Amino acid sequence: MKRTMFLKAERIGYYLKVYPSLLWILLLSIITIFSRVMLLVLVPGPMFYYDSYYYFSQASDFISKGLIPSDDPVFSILLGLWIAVFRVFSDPLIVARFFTITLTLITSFLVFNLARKFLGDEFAFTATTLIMLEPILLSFSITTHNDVFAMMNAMLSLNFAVSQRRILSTLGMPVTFLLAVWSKPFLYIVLGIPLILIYAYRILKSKKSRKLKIVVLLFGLTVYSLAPLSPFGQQYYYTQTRFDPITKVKIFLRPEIIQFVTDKIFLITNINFINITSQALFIVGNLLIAYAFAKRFKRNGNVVNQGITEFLPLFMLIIVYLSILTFSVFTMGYRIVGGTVIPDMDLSIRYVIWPRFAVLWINAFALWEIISIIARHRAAET
Amino acid sequence: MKDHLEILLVLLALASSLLPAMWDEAVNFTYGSSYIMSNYPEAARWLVHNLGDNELAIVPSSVVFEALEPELKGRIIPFSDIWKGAGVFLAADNTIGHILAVRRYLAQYLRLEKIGYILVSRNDPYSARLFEGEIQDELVLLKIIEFHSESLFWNDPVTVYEFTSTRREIFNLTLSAEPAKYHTNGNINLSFNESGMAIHYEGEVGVYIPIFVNSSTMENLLLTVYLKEMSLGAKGNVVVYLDKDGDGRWGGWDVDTGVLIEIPQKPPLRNEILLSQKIYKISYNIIQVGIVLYGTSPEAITVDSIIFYEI
Repeated sequence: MKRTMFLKAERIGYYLKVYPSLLWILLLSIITIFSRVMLLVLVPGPMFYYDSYYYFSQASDFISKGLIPSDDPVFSILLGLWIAVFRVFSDPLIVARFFTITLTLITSFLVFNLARKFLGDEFAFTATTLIMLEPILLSFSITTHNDVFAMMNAMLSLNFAVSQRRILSTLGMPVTFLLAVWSKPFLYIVLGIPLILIYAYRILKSKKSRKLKIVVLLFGLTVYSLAPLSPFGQQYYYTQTRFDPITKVKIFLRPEIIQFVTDKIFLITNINFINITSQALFIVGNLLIAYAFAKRFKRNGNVVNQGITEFLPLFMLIIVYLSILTFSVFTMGYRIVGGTVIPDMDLSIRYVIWPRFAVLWINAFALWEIISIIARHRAAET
Repeated sequence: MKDHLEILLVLLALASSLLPAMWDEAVNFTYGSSYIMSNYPEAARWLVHNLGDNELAIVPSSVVFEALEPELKGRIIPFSDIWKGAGVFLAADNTIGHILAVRRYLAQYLRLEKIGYILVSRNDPYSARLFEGEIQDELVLLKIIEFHSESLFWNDPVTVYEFTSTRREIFNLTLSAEPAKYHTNGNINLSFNESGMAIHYEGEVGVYIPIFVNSSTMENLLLTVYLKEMSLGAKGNVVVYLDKDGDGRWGGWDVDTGVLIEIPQKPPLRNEILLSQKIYKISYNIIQVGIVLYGTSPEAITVDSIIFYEI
């Protein structure tokens, strides 16, 4: 018995040596699960808003009557199956909340995996911990909203996009991207454009003929641009709003709306000092990214001869700026009074989960770089 | 250890300031968001215990009630179905006219179906929009109980009502079409379109429309006037005329009710208004309604409809 235990401990030690990330993943899992369970214990009250119950209801109807859910069916079906399996343990409403907690745990692994490709395990752990403790994401991961499901699929698609395995990058990415967009349509722009840039970069860097590269790029861009014009895209769009996208740009792209959305994204806590620090780190992150690219461009004459993961901070920046524009133009509620469109100046707080993920990534990156510069400077001095 | 000094510094910096602040924010946000729905579980339980066997209830956000109390499945109707039944879409530019149409449909529905309770919540736009402001029409509800949590966090009260109205629409003068008879005085120009009777005028003017409301046997009446597209200086009154001498037409010993509805200044937001006035102990039939307007410069106003209810 003692020998078996010793062997097990020895094996764990071996795995940690071979896969040092496991320790970080274990720590991350503990933080992610513990924070959510603690929150659920502290606030055991009802779930949030109407949508949580709506998805729960769709899931219940799927398992009890076999009805295929009409809204975000994949999320609702998976939720239904989860409830069917685990409802022996507790009330279905409680069981359902652990479904989104599990999705968040998977998301944390995906964020970690993406970040470690960029700056290693320690950075990945810091960035992912920050992201996983972001208040709105933390809060929405204990209720059956589909935002966490969308986040998980978005992270999967980003992981697949930078993967070296062809099957994942050519098949896995489009499937998970579409699932993410199905849950949160704004991701078509906010996630779609960074993904296009990643693929454009990979295609340009490949050893295929120039003609083929141009054909593939043009084909991809055409499909991406025309998809919203398909009957499905049109039907979705016009059930949400009466204005076409161009008109919406004309109506809503105003400085005060952009300012409002930006404030919402950066007001991460109710302590002003922390919010200002986060904004300052974000600006420093912008400058560091610009500086890094300028330096590499000066050295190599181009920036294309770099690994795709080198571009991750840049993609995060693009996500933040695209989110600000998309939320200002396409998700702002409005009233019409005497023929005049009056923006509600109210943004559903769930939307900020996505840009804040990128802001916190940039914050972690900036902090990491600042401390690395200081450490290098000290090392040079000694 | 030296190699990881920077990591330790980062972790310490985060742990000491950012993480506790983010945690506090998450707890507060979760409390706040959770409290919004805090009255629904209690309201759903109340409904299970109080709804009669063959009764139905009209509720806001029906899926919430179904999820909280699965017994309610098949026994509750969402407010969105009432809007659908009335043929009105919930939209950013719903007018009082739309709201009145849905309320009228709801009143009919309540008379025809066996509805035990109507639950109203501000969080559900389908129910909130029907009951915001003080619209006076045939839809009169009696408040039974309100579920409301005392908390620092905003929560959405759920109010339970019963339908008790004895109000009935007895005369509806919709002015989208030109009435068979009417006369005017003063510098006035009338046109009729789907919005109603558009009046363009200057100075003191009047529009008088002969009607017949069999109100002599009725104790009390409610008069509502729906006005829209008012210019800033439009002012005036709506006057009801009674057939005191019993000859079926205005003149002789006939009198006005003395009930005047004063038209207020142009409403600041939505350029429309629903005015209402109770008329007590009427004793005579109504034979004419008059709209008397005045203004110093050219003014405009549109009268959509004039409706009488027995109360």
